[in-house]
Amino acid sequence: MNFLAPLMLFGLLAIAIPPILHLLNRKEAKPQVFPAMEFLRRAYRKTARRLKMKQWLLLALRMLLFAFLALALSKPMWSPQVNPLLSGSDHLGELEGTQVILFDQSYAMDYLLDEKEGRRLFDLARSHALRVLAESSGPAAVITFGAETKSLSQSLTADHQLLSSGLKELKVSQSYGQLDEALSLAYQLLRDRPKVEAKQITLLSTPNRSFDSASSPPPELGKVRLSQVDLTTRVDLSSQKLDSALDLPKISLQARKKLANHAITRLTLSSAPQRGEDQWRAEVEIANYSPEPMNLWPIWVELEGEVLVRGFVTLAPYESGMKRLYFKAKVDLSSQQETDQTKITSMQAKKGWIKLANDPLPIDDQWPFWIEAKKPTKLLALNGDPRPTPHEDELFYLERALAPQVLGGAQKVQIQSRLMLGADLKDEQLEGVDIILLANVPRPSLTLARQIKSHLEAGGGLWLAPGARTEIDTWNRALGDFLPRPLRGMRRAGDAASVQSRGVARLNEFDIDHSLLRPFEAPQRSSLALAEIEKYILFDPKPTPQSAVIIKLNEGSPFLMTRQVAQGRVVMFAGPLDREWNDLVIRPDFVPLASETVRFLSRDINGGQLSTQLGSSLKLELNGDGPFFSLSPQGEREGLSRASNQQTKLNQRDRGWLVSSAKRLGHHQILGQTDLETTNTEQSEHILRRFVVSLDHRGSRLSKVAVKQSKQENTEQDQVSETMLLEEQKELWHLALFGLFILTCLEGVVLFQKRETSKQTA
Amino acid sequence: MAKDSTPTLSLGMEVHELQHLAQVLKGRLHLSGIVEGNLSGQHKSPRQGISQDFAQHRDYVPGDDLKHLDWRAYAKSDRYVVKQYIEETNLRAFMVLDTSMSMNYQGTGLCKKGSYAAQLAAVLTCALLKQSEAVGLVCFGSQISQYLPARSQGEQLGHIIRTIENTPWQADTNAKETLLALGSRLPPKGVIFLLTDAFDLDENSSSGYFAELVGSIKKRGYQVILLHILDPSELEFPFDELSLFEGLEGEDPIKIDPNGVKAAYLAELNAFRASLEKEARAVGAKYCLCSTGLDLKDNLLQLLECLI
Repeated sequence: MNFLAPLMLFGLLAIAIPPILHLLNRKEAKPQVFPAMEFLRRAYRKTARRLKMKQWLLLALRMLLFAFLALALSKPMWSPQVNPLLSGSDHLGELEGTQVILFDQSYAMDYLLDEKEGRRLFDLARSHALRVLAESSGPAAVITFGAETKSLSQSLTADHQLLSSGLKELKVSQSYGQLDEALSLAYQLLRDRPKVEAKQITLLSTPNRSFDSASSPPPELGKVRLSQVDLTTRVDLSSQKLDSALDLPKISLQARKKLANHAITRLTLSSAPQRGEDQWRAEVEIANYSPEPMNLWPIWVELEGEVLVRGFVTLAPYESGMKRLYFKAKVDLSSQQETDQTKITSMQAKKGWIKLANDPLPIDDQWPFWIEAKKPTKLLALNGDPRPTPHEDELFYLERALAPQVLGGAQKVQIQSRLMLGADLKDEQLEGVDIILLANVPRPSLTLARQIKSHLEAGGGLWLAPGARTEIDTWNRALGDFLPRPLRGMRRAGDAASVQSRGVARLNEFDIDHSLLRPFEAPQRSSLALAEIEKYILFDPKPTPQSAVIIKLNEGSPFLMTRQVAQGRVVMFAGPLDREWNDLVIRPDFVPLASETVRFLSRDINGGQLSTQLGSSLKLELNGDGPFFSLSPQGEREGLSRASNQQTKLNQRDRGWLVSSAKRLGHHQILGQTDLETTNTEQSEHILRRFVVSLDHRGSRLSKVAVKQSKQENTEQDQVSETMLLEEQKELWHLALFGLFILTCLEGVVLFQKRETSKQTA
Repeated sequence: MAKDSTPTLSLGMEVHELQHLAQVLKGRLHLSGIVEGNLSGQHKSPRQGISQDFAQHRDYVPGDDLKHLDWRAYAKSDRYVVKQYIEETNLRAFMVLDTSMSMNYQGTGLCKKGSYAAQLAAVLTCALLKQSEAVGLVCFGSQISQYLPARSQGEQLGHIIRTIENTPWQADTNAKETLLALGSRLPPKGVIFLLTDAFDLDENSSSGYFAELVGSIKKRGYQVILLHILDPSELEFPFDELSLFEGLEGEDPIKIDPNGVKAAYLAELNAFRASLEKEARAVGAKYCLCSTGLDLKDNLLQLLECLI
């Protein structure tokens, strides 16, 4: 049994309080004349013994009360000795049988236990592993799991020197190791050993990692003993059997303690236009994995080494919470940077970090992000129904929805409005245009159709919003190759035979997996569902290739559809973008829908912050055939591979690329060559995308205590902790408090009994 | 009144107050035992004689007084029969007062137990004298200290009061010896009002001790009425501070936490009272508990209830 607050054990001295109080309060007996002395003497003779016993009992109860209070305050902990290796003896004795050590290389092992001596969990684990190897006589293996899971030897070996030297070279990784993989590898190694032989698998990891019920060994291995070493308990490495050449830190006796850690577990970065130009909002989720509260813990936003904003976080023990930080960050548009090998041109970006004040595990107290300058998306809006009154104009609502003060710094849309009343566009007018919008255009010409086709083949976007002036036949004839579905004609809401209520149709079926609806957590509960549709365009029920229905009306007709045409994308609404047929445009959620439509149709395919966790892959869409490279913060390059069809969405499959496994924490870039920039003499590359790699924060939780309000509670990690509840250390302070309560009750009963007896006899 | 410096029992009550209280008992103090007296009174005599109450007929024998001949019976049956009557007599009562030191105690009661007992004795004397009964007084402690023969004259009340007030407290009680000795001194037949705390009667705590004592007195033809005088402090034991209890009759002091022994003490006391009452009933004596916390009048009424 250990104590979390051993100083409180001094409180045990308080058990002297009741006898001292008793002695201090001892009164002089008051002389009292009384005639019935014989009865009194007889009563005294009968009760004296019982009375003395009761008084001693009361005194003992009161002393115990103080003792239990002191015990409760010192927070006793009890943990079953899972491993006989740590039974408290000075040396392990001769370990028999086969030993397999699972050695955790996760970033959490870098936890600084002793600041003065610079001792880390990793050092303790290594020392312990060396000690096990020194004490064991049979074959052994060391399996490390961090960035990758591997064995230090090909198979089980009796050459412990080889394993020891391998252990000495180990370093902490930035990843979160896969224990199940390591265990599978251990079972694989043990498969060749005789079934009757004693086998032991020892886990050296952080206290939150342990074997669970799924870890049980396969029956063909015979009896395998799984044990975990709690590195935070008593460890004595003063054994003389250790390799003297190894510079091991001298570890003193250490009581088990809870490893306190704080971590940033998530970051959502978005623009905050309501606060002004170039304003950003960082929503940071912070978890306090510590038995102590976080009081006014400093947090700040750093951009290119400059602190932009500071804040404070206050959290209860084992609680996670959200902290919002607003800051202003402006990034210029053009820049050029050179590396040793290539010249890289790109839109400029700035590297930023959200940082928490350091704790013993600093690596998880930071989270990287990019602030990127974005080229404005050019939207050529062909207005088929211009009006002199502004709010009646076809583009009035769209222009306001895509205004810079609404979108903020994250996205800029440049709208070029042209009347489309017959005259064709010149090819020059389409240069640099990302999206063409046909807003209630009556008769698109064949020339326009040809221009749109080449625009789409170049990867541009087409936004179709037919309305009252649209000539159905002309649209079908001219734009038939791009339409998600051929148009049938206008329909008034309520005309469908299946609908009883007349007059208004509503949006009620949403493909929530589609990226167009990404801004909405639940579109059914958004204001989109409240929009009243009086008229809409009826489409042919037969879908065209590579088209998808994103939103449907309650009358069953599609309202919003997309289609992939060559490299380009088409989005089609079943009505105009003014209030003539519906009031969708005045609904607040039209703004994110319009913004997301622009992002979807533009080349800014992925949008927002791209991020992944260390060791995980990242899928992203890139225009072109590659090759593309991922550039790590340390300047390492890694080629990107094509994502398979199963890994990407159907309408994205031609542009899907995969960063197979992110190995470095921080700011990464995707480099690639484009046709325009290819030169013969000098290799020129564009930075096509940027992404950040963060830690797998599962490793930050160093104890098994669940964190409140954490979204991670329902993940696999928590399930593991539930199944392993029996093995985790138990806090006994509540038992001590229970004892305290029982003692108080007992004293109450004794005193009450006394009073009741007096009352009855009176 | 006390003639020297020895502390004496004080009555603490005026005569008119006694007479006023005696009114409570007027005409109600019917003692059920058969007693013998030398004056006509309210009590039946075992001898038949001149009285209003018809007893029986008996055949006439020569020598009988002709005035007792029942002529009506002769007319009906043609037989000479003589009427006989139950003769009434006055009561010979003795107030036997305990003047030991244990009676010199006042806890939460109205006055000392001894004074209370004296007042009770005086009131009873007053009431009995008014009923033309003969009343005597015995004061005892370790021995009989005062003895006044029973008289029915009016001045007997004054004699009794003066005797009581002149009686000193006695250091010890020896009830058994005293009462046995008293049995031989008393004239035959009468009523004894024994006013005591009876602690001495429990000294050996042997059952039947009191019954044996009463039995010896009853042999002399006496009815015993035990007035058990106790202070409320003795009945309730209201102490709660650690105390050094000292007896009044030279017992060793004892240091006790009263809260601890209260229950056991009260159990002991109640058991003693119950056994006294039981023994009294067994030998045909009366038992009446008189708490000095109660008003004298209440205790007198309680006594009347006991005598019914």
